[in-house]
Amino acid sequence: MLVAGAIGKCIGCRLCSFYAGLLSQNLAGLNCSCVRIDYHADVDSFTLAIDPGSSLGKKDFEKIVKLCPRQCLEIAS
Amino acid sequence: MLKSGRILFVNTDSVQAEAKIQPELSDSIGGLAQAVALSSLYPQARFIFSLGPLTGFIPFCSFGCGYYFIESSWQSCYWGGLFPSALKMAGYDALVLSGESSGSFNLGISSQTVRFGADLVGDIFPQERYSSHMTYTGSQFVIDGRMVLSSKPAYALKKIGISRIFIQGDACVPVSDGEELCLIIEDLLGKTRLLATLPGQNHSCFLCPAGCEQADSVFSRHTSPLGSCLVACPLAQPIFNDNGLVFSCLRALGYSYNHDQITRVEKFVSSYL
Repeated sequence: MLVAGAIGKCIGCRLCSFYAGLLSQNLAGLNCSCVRIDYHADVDSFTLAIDPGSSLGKKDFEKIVKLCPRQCLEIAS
Repeated sequence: MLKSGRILFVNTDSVQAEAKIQPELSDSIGGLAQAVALSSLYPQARFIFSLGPLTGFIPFCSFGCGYYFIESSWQSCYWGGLFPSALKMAGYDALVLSGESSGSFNLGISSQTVRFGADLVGDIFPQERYSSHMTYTGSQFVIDGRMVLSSKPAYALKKIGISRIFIQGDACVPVSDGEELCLIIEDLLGKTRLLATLPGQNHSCFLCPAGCEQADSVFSRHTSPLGSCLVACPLAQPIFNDNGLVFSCLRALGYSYNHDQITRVEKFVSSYL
């Protein structure tokens, strides 16, 4: 599973999950089950997780990370 | 295609909910104009929460318009956060509440079901991308645990007998031109300098990277007729003054409004602002 972890600057705009939803649905729809956001109240941040079964590749992930206006994502694995 | 005109009607007297498709409302674009049209069609309505065509898909357009009946007249307010986007992702363009119940209803809304119940606690799962809640805490309505609804709309909601609304935006929403939408999003994110606010560290509204000081505010009025129909963030008005950009956004989501339609609606809502 590819995971992008928030590193403390996240303000919860959820652009990353929206964008990942767009990309992983082959630009056909949103709310796909293969993208998930987990909220960590203890550190007030989000983790974006993409199911390995999704069509997203490394390039897509780099796009998502680049899109984050707060630059708070990184590719964790 | 997003142009569904799907409206959710909830009545607390009969404890019933019904979703209806009303394509004739699409001429009103959305937001305040749609709310006014709904209040004419359904005079028994007491609180209308109306979304715009871009709500939940375009940065700085994650607001909704609350239109409520109080002191013998209709008044409006606007708020963002996740609530409007969650309603859109549940597949609705507006929520119409009616009734006058002494009870205290919790209302759970998803794309397929509406649940009522005083004992309906319904955990909200913040990890879900499109879930949101509004809860009466004994003195005020708090949206997503941070945004406080002002006293008049709160009173109107309480009078209907609503104590809590939680929304699970679990519908799969098709996008007409996703590739174009990605380009528009990137373009809009480059215009954040035009926002009438400075970036802050607050939780932001859905798709907005500002996290501004006003992120926890409920705006009592909107100054731009088109902005009130798109339900754009009032602080982003300079961005949506660009008609070309507005048409690009509408087109990417499958709407085909022409200039005359927009001008007509702008004139219509001017008297309500």
